[in-house]
Amino acid sequence: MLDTIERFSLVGARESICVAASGGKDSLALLYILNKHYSVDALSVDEGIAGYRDISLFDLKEFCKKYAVPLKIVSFEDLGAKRLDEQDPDHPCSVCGVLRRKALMKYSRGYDVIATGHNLDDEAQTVLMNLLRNQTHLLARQGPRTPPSEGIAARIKPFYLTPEREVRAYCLLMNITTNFAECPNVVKSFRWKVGEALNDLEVARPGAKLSIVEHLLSQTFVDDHDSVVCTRCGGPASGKLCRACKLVVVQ
Amino acid sequence: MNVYVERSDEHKELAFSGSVQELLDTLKINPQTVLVLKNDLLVTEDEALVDSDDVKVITVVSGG
Repeated sequence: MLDTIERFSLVGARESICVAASGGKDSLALLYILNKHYSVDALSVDEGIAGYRDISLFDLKEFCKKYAVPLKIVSFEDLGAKRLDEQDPDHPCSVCGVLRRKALMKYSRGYDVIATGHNLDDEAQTVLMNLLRNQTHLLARQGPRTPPSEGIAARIKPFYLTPEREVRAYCLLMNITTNFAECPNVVKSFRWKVGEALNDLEVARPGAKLSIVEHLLSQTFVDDHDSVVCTRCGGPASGKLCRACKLVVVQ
Repeated sequence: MNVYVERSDEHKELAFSGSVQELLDTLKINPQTVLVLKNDLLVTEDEALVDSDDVKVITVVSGG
């Protein structure tokens, strides 16, 4: 991971770092390593899924107490939205993803960078999902460091080239406690299906995930979709309102 | 052999000896999705298992 930080110049000198932390294995391993080398704060989003997020938030709170990492927890209600449990949307992962990104973007203002626990598996899945949806313009936003814009922190992904299995193994070896908790919505998601297909491909052809992501890095993609400013929150949008504000207004 | 599978929270008693890879094949589990502990030590897929081993199959894939 430190090699990835160096290879892509993910953290500049004196940059302040906020770590997006759910309490799962990726974010706790990320917090553990970054906290050894930098001064970091943790930011978590409680989307309101009973029996799931409370388990990982417990692990996160214990971790932050043990390693003296300042922690801020925000909720969907803080954005003016309902808890995900109360929304019952047709596509819960899409709604959750939009609101989580919005919360992280909003509450990491003031930091230079926000680090997320996205790993090699996540990135390979996202490449395939964007190709399968013919949304290739989104590939331009998928690098290990997304530059800052209009008060929004730069987003960095230190586990960009680290396989998910290695992150989990690191947690086991370093005694980082992560209780297994599965979101009840996860198996309904397109990402889940793509992830299963990629795991089968990786067995048949070891290195497949890394090849997908290294190929992405070797290409130049252009995001030619116009981006404007959301009239409600001032964040980036493709129309009058950003996707998060559309969801909040509808509720 | 006592095998605990984390994702399904199941304990199984199996008569088995062979490699970790063969155990995962028997359980129909993709090795990309798990890590295996033999007597609480992390092992690779070529590790030999015998009937008296205590085995834990730990989930790798993110739950959300």
